[in-house]
Amino acid sequence: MNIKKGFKLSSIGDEWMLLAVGAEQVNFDRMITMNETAAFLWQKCHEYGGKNITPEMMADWLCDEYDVTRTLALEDAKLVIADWIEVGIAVE
Amino acid sequence: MPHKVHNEILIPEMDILLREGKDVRFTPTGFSMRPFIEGEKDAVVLRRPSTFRVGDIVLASANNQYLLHRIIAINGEHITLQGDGNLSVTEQCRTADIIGTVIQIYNADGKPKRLTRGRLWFYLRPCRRILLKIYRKLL
Repeated sequence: MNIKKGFKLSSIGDEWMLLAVGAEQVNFDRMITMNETAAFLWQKCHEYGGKNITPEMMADWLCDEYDVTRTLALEDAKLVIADWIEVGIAVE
Repeated sequence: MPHKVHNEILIPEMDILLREGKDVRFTPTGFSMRPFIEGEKDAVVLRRPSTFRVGDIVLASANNQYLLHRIIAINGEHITLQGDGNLSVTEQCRTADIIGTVIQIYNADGKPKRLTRGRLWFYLRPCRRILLKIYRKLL
């Protein structure tokens, strides 16, 4: 999975927002809200260059950061990837 | 995954981006700018203005809330705002409270609306009550 470029992740209070930041215009109607875990994974993907990210890599990050079993982490990672592809912020 | 994020959170973020020189597009809520902006349907594009003039639609912080209303008077730093759909209520703010000026309005189909018609509406203020009545019946 590759995450798409040109997004800005902002945290305000408990909220995380992913905004498509164009060269000239930022469209808040296409804003994507994320929970803390999804935002953490997005940042991690970014750190790793955003390309060829696997559910297994994401599961490792989740296990390192949170108190979660590997089986559950892998399930969550797959769900997050499916979500991101569906809303158009990542591609297979 | 998506859910509603409150204006109190979003607008400060818009303010930062506008100050960076970016335009910001969003769909406002509320019906106080009828008939020119239909809340939750029309989208507006804001830009950080260098000057203001009477007739501009601005996003401003006034009376402890955020408003997207039209400037009806400018007196030095003091700005008077009014919603197009309001008959007598006005709001006061200062030039520093203005976050952005509407440079474009798009309807629900994504087609641009003409801003000049809104200026004409401003000069038709004495007839607003009757025109708004007709408009609401047409909806």
